Amino acid sequence: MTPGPEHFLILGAILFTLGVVGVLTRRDPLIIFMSIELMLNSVNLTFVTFSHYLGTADGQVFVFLVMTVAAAEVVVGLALIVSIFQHLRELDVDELDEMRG
Amino acid sequence: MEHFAWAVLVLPLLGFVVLSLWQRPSTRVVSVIGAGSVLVAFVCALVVFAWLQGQADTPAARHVDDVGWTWAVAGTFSLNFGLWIDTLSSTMSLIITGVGFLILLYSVGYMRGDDGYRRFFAQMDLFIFAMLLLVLADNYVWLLIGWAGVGLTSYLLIGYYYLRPSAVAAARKAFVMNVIGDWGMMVAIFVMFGALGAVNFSTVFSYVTSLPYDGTVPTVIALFLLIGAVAKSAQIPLYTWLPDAMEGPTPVSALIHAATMVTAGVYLIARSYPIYQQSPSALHVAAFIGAVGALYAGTMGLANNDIKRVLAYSTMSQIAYMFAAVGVAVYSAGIFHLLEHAFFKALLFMGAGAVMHALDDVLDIQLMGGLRRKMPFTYWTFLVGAVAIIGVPGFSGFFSKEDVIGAVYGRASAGDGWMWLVWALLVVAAGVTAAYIFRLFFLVFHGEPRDQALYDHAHDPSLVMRIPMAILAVLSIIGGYLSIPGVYNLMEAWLSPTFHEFAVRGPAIGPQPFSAVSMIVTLLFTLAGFLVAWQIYLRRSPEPGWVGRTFAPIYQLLYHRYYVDELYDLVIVRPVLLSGRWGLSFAERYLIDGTVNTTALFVGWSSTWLRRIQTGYVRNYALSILFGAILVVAYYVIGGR
Repeated sequence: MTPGPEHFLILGAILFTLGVVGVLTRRDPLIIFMSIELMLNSVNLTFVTFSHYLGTADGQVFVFLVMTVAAAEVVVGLALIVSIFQHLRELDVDELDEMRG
Repeated sequence: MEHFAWAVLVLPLLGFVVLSLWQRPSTRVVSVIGAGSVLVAFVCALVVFAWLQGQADTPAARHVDDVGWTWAVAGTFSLNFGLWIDTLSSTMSLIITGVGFLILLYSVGYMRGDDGYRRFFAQMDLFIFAMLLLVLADNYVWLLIGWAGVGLTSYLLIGYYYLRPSAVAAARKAFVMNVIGDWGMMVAIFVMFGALGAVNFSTVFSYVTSLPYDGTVPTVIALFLLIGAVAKSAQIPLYTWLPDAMEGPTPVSALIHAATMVTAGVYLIARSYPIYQQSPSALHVAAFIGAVGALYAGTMGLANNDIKRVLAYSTMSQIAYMFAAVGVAVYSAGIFHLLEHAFFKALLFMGAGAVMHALDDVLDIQLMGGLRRKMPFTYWTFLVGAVAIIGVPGFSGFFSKEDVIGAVYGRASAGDGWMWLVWALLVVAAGVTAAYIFRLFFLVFHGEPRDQALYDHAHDPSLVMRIPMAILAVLSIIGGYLSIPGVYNLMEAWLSPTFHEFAVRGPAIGPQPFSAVSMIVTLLFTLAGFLVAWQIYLRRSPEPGWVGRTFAPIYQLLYHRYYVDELYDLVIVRPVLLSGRWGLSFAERYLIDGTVNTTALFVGWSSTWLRRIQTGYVRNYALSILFGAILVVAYYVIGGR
């Protein structure tokens, strides 16, 4: 059986869901971060799939864009995490509730 | 010549600026700059005067409108800043700088050792600048700026002893009443602009005759200008600030509240004569305010025990004479009396200042007495001033007052029936003048000392104070010979070009025929007034106390100044305070604070619920974003297009 577009799309959806669940449930910012990356890349997979089967390059251009932004985001995000760790001496997003009303 | 006129205006301003910026000059430097700048300005004013004197005796030759620069442009309207140099403004600037210099010289002695010495001279120079601006401006806007400037400096100098609450209150009162006048002037200027499209003198005076004669518009302009004049010159009904203004240092009272600023109202009416000529009704109002005020203020002077307040009421009464003179369109008589009044009233105030100086600032004349022996110089100069003000023949007040009363008599006998009433009031006021001035004089200088400690302490003032007093005493004697009723009138001849420059309607401008009847009646009343003061306060039969008790209702009425201060308090001050308190207790607390607080309470109450959403946990926010995304997707998947 050759994999068709639906297999790739389903895989993308599963990866995205895993990422969402990870962001919503985990307390370690590093894990949350990895989950965000998972979500981004599942979207990339979807883009590439459509691009391939529709025969256009638009989706692949988007993927490069997403990867660039994700790289920049990792830099800022990791710097924030280091800073939070220096401030709190532990890594737990539930401790970061200063914004509570 | 124009340069000298500009110098007259600029020099006192320069004095003010230098004294304000120079932080620690010595006393001598302050005196030299403060008084010297005014002296040089006086010399420049003399040059201008001499130049005008040398011109041909026509209105065109004796008037220069020197435009400095265009000050404001708006559409077709443009306004210059320029000097209006003619015989009237020349006379006024001579009075302001001349008498001003003498008073500043006197202040050098009077204010010696005062902490605010520099401040005093700086503010006096600023006042003289503002007053010169008022009389030299060539349009109503700049006149109003000078007008407000003298109001401001008057406020500053009345409140000179700012640690004394009564001085601060007096300054505030003077300012508020003067602002009522400023408001009247502004309305007059607006109406003028609306009716004639201009506010500079030459245009307004040339075209005012195009307005209906004695019609609404000229009358409204003239009456609103009169509000300004009345407030500045302390006439009925806006006069109560003047007696309180005596809280300022005595030289201030002499310069601002006797010789110059308070006469600005007379100047304003004389300057605006084409407008007033167009509205005989407004002239009548001015004449009546003058006639009633002359008698009314004089009677208040009869029962007051404060040496400076008696002189303040006297000032009000004398300015009322000037109002009566300009009110019958004999403007030169008003200005003549203004000039003589500047001499003898400044002299009387200087005498009062000398007495205060000698007695440790005691003002109550009931504590004085017998000072003749201790202060012979002050005694004689004060006597000259007193004789001049009541109009003893040969002294300045006689000639100028005779000019005023004779002018009213002339109008009355020429068929203006109401003027008989004005004349009668002025004649009676002349008698009252003699009575209150000599009551003051006898109580202060004659009789036995009523406070021995004060008496022992008394002495004549220092030389620097005596010189200006001597000069003013001489002027109070010889100043009157500018005009001898029925013989010649140099003042009228000098001012005539100014008052005939513009073609006007209304009563003919010019001197009235001399009347011996009016003069004799006036002198008889003056003599009667003097004899009353002589009997009661020198011979002491009847005793002053007995008189007060016998005529208790009248005495109490006068002693309490007709209860007008109380009336104003009841009718204006209290309702305003009451509404203010209502505003504080109800409007402020319930309407304004209530609205604001209710809004705040509602926001606070609603946020007690909404705040629960704000957990501060990132995942909750992420979850809500997810739900939002799901909703958007669901919308497109299920129903949307």
